[in-house]
Amino acid sequence: MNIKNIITVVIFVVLLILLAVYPKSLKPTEQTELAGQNEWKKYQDSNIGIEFEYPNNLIPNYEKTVYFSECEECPGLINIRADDVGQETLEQALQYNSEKSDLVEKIKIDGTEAFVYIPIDDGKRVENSKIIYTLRAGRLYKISIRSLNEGEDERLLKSIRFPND
Amino acid sequence: MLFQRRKSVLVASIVLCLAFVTAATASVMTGWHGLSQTQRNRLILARANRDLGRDMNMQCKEWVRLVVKDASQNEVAIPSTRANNYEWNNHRYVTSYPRACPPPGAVPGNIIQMVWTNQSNGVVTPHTAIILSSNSSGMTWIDCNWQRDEVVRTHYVSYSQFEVCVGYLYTIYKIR
Repeated sequence: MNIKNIITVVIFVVLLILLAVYPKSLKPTEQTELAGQNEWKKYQDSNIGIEFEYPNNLIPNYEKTVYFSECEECPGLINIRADDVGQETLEQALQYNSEKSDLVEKIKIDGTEAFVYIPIDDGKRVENSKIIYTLRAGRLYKISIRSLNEGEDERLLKSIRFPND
Repeated sequence: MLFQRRKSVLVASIVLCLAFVTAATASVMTGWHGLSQTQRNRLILARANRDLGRDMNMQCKEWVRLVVKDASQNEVAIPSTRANNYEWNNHRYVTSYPRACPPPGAVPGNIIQMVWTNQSNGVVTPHTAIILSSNSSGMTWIDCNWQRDEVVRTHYVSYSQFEVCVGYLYTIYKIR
């Protein structure tokens, strides 16, 4: 085996190790799923500082954000992301939001004010779809929910906690 | 061997770039409607790829409309969707394909409008995507908001999954 082949094998092994380690580093450090009431599961994510319950027929997928879908090839039904925006109020944090949507409701999530929007696509409101924003400790949370059974989105929102505060 | 691989990747990249440059140059010279369908589809894909990974703050159909508008240099604005959510209203520069499985017309640069049905609760989600590629078992799409975060991504959907969740509630369009 000449030196070129040895270098190629070493690079290949290093790449394999990186591939094995990297996806795990993307996942939340503290993510557990526990059996909840009525077959819902609890999702805990210390990276973005949130926990909530979700229907147990959905599976969590991890990329830059976490989203839940019915299957690997299915569209996301719940998406949670958090961005440090350094603003003091939710109005300030959303002032440059160019998204086409209608503000329909103001609610409380874990005691904090949250704005509920219905997105607009193709000139009309998207059915069964909500985008909820809330600001917690300078961090803007965007929670997108789509096509859950009636009452399930309400249950999910009520179950949200921010344990890192 | 590594050098040969790099060389072939380089050659492939150059060929792809040349194809886009040729389509773009032809577009300037002849105008959108003077292009071949392959050239128009390439321009749509090239414009769509520019947004890959970007948070567009848009829903799926609005993003596809923007892509087509930009690619065609404001020549084509795709029409609004009918109440059934899987067909668009008629438009002189939009042509649909007959429905079958696998879908005819699933070629790169064509656009698919569909209704995706959740298997657990029967709730439907309309969706619009651009076909990036297809093979004997499925399609790869480039679209916005698939994960509900308004980001442009590519992803694969097998024909078997498509048949279960979409069935015949879809239409594939080419933009002329």
